[in-house]
Amino acid sequence: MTNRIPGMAPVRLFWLLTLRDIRMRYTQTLGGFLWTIIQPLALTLVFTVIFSRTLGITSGDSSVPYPLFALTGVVPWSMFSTGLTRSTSSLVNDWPLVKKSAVPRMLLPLSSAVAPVVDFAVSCLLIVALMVYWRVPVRPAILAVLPVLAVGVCFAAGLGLWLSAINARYRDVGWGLPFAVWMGMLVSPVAYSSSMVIGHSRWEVLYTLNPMAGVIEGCRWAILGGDFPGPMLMRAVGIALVVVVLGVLFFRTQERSLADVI
Amino acid sequence: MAQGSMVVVSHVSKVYRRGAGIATLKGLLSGDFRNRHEFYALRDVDFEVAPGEVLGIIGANGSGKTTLLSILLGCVCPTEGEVRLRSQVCSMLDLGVGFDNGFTGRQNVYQACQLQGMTHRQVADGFKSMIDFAGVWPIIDTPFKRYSLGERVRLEFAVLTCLDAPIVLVDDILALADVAFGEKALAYIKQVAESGRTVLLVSHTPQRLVPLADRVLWLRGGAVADLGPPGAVVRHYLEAHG
Repeated sequence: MTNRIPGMAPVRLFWLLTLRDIRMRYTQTLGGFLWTIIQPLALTLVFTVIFSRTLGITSGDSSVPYPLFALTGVVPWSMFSTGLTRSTSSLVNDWPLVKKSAVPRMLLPLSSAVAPVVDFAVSCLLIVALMVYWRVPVRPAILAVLPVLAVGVCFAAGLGLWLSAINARYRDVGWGLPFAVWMGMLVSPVAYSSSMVIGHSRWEVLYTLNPMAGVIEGCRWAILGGDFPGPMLMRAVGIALVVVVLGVLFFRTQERSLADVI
Repeated sequence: MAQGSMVVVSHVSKVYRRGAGIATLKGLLSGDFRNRHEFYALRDVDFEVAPGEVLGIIGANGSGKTTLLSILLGCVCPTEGEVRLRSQVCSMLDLGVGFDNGFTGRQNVYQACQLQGMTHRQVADGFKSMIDFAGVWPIIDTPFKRYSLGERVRLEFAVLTCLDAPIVLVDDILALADVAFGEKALAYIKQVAESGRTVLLVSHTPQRLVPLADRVLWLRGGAVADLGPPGAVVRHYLEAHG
């Protein structure tokens, strides 16, 4: 599948598609970018009332206020789930590009997986504002969220490559995914600390096989400090890389027939 | 490959599966997938196009015209055979590729042109002439979904007038245009044909091709029924379908 369009450098096209994805998400909304903040805030509020106030779940080993703790889980998780969801539907939503243009197909799921990084950046401002409010020190180590985040984006992109190509053939994926994402949030340390599971459950190995567990704990460590979740993060890097490499290979096998089956 | 051919289509066939196949679990369980049959959208199509040549393509609905153009663009892979292009192509396979209803006309022009490979700068340079061509200045910053069908077609076609790759693939995209704009668009295609670019042009109005094309290819049931001078091929075609 060759790209025969003049002057179309894949990298430039990738950014173009990413920007398009970001713009497209908020057309005809009153709130626009406010939605990037409203969603995590609302979720954090619910978590605070249910998990912290009612069930007595704490911020793990750290002493930061629970809302801030939850937010540092909610924000990377929503970046991942938005990216994965949009990436999965990218080929089907943009079927005219698949059937009638020479845009390299792989760029569609990849750009959709990357676009929510912008949401993350906006939400980070919210996190920092709350840190200042609660007098939690903002340390230079916070920059470490970037490489950690890259792991999450890689994982979303890798899964997106698989699922978008399968979704083009079988729309079942589109039906099953919202459910899977919702379950994914429960098995990731979004509303609670992974230290509640690790050392306390027979399932802890299985638990840490979920790369988002490592990514979320990594983000928390970068933003709030605490123990470096080394083994979990390493596992996340490994699994994300495997998923993305296999995803690229799988996508290559599907690419040629996408326009026929979509 | 003959020396100097711009487009070589050698023994291209495209097979689609028909029937429900295993599109559903029910189909899988009931064994329906065994009933699927193969359908040749293209059958051993073989021709070459010289640089600067304008090749008209005619044929009844379902004769494989669009499949052929899609294969040339690289969107669809042939089941057998191969195509070779000596240069870059731009496609006018459909109107509105890369357009989105939520964006304004202006945003859509930038979007669609850039998806076709133009830089932001190139779009900016060609912007005025495109909007002049479409005649939509008053509504250029209105969301695209508020456009009338005619306004849409005009702007979508105008975007295509900016593409300048040496090989141009044109599907029959003017079915929705009104008479005045249809004339204008046809005049544009004529200009492209005369500009020395290589053009493959599908039309459902064969008579239109006669003055434009150097040769005409007639597809029937996915196979080449005739290929030659426009007058003769179109006459055969009209006799067969008259």
